[in-house]
Amino acid sequence: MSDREKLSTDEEMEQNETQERNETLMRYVALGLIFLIAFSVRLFSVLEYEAIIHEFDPWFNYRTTKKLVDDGIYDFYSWFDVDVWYPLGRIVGGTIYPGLMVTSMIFSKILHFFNFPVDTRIICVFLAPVFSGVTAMVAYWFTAEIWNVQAALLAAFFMALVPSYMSRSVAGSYDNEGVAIFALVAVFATFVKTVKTGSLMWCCVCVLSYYYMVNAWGGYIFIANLLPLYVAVMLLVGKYSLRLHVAYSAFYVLGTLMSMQIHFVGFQAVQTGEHMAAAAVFFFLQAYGFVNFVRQHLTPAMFASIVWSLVIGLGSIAGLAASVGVATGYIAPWTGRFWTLLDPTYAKTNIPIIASVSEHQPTTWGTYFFDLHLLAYALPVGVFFCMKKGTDAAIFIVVYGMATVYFSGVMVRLMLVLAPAACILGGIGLSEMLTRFLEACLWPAKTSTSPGDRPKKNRRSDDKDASNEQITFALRWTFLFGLIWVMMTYTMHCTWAGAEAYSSPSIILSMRTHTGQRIIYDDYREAYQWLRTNTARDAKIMSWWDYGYQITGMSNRTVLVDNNTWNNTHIATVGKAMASQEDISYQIMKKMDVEFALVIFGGFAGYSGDDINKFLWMVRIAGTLDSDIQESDYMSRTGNYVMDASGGKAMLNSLMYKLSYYRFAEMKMGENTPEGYDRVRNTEIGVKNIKLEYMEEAFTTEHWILRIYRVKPESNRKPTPVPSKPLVSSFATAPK
Amino acid sequence: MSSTDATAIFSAFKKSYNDSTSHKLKVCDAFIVFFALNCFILFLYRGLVGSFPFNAYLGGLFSNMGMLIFTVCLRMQAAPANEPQFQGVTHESSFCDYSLCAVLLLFTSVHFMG
Repeated sequence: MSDREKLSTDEEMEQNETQERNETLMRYVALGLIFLIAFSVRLFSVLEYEAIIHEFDPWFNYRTTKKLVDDGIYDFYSWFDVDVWYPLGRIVGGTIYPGLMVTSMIFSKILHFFNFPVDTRIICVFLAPVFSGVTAMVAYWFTAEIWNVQAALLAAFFMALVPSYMSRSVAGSYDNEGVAIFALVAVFATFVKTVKTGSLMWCCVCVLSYYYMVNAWGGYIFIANLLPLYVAVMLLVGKYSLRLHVAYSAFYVLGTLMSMQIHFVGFQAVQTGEHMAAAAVFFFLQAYGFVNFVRQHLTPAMFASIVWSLVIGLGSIAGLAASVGVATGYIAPWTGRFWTLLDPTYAKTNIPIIASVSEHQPTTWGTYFFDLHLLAYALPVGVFFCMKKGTDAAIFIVVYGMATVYFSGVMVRLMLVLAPAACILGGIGLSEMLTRFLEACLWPAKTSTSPGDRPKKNRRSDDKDASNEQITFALRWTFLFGLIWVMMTYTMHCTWAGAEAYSSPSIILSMRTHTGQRIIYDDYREAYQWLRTNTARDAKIMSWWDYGYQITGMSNRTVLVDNNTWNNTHIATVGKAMASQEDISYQIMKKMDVEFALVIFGGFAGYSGDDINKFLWMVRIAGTLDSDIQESDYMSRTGNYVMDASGGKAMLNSLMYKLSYYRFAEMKMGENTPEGYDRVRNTEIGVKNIKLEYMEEAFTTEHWILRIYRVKPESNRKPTPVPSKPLVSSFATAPK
Repeated sequence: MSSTDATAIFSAFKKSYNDSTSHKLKVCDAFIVFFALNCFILFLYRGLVGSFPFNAYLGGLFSNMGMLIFTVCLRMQAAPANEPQFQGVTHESSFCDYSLCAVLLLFTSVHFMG
């Protein structure tokens, strides 16, 4: 080689190196921007209202975090809460997943150590957006393991913006899923890395991520069942490898042992049916590996003669163990929560409490598009490319994607688990399409020519080739611009969905008048503040279970039932109190030492999430306790659920009706509307002059949304009848 | 089928095993058998005496099962026949990972036993 040629190859190498360095720099800048986007798009409610904890469950998490930060970890783990589920109480230390609270505590301690006195509330509000940025980074690394760096960048971008994940991780939504989705993606990413390399070190990292996941969310059961499903699929398609064996066996043993360290899980990991799939696949894998080992040392003839006896022997041992376990009841059968995943109608007939939660309803088609947008279309494309490639990692993401697509159809809240799979598969699909079209558009000479383009030296075919060339040129560029435009609309849709649909704090409502002016309804906080400042510290508040966490969190008072819904009978008792006539309710309330009753009423403000709309669920749940309470009694004769004079007799006499509409007939909305016009049910109410015998109105908020009533103490005894003749006093005949 | 077939197979297996496995791997295999025996003894004990401190029983069982699995994994990674399947995993790093897993397992088991 001459010196000049050697110089040019050196220059080329240098050019390649700088190009690579520039690409890496651009990639990291893009990742940094993706983190910023993920964080910023979740801040809408903080900008619109303030940095407040949203909804219901986050208030409980916030209260426990405050306890942890203020009182320390030993008090936290041994906390018996007497302020909830009066008179039963709740063992908080053993019935929560502490990962979220411990994470916030660690952040708080670190910040305080560096002398940033950040309040717990601020940490709780902003924890989820920070973790969503980190999740996007982990999704990047995961997709880079499965496919390549280009798909990884797209996947990270999608992950930062996808609305279904955003809905559970906006600023203020301080819930388990905020950190759990990060842990979920981390577990899957490290597991795939373990399967790819076969190294036990990555298995350790995977197990530690799994331990964090079990700490964070009850949805760890999904991972505990998906990984065995993946191993089973791999065995079925004949891709058993020693790396897979190493990965899953080590993960199962260490992972199960570590998951039992959390009090809430305890021995369930080896005793309940939901965990048995993992154990079954584990033992099967060991048997498979053992049979393979034996095969290595025998001739094929000898092995063929004993393989059946080996298989039957091992199989019968396993079958015996399983049947003994199930028959003696040692292995608990599947609980109702999981039966609903297989049979969506199970909960409606058997467990009304699970069926009544709005998050547990089946998903509509519109939700798929709203929550995933572009990814709902790009997911199948990604599945196609992954199945074509067929590596271990690609099969994993296909299994994960298909399983979550099925489960997300059963319950709306499981759309969240679909989001990472959709982002990754969508990223892969879109990246492949974009690569092909970009190459075809920018470097058309390099793309392979189809047989139709062979030079035929025929004038007619030359013209046809030229026109074909123009058409394909137009098509190529149209598709390319179409893909880019669709990704831009994805961004716009996600930002809009985040701002309008998923940033509502639920505790502050806002509506626009017909003139476009915004009215803020801060009734919830108004009522909770009234409770906090005007009631005794040990006052017991009766309300429907939705508001339990908020009352204990904001008013710091004792409640009867709250969102934990662990005791159906207690909830049914409260439901019965709400659904019965006032005197029966009074007996129940006296028995429970209730001092205040709280109802949500939206008829004045037009707020449709009030207790009257939830009332039928109260009736159904109360019906499981007391069979005299029939839903049909609360409907009108024509079978409608109405509040006007034709409503069911039981409805018009129920405590809920009285507490909601007490003195409502004094309100007149406008010139042409009658008095007592319910703006949610759009009817004039049936009973207008409501009298309360055992309760009195304590507080009603500005827009009548929360109404608080005091339970009157028992009235004085009725006086004994005066006799017609005056009693002769015994003193009059005192002995002298 | 008949007992001679079984003994013939068993002796063929033993011969092939003795010839093909190096001394290091045989040490691993002995370790594996030791852990399996421990598991079996623990299981027997539970059947005879009961499992009262269930967390202690599980701690003991899982630590033995875990070490068994890790030694199996180590043996898989160390066997020269399996080189092509474990790209990028050297013998030193596999032993280091083995010790790391063992430390994590035994720490958790001791914590679990209470």
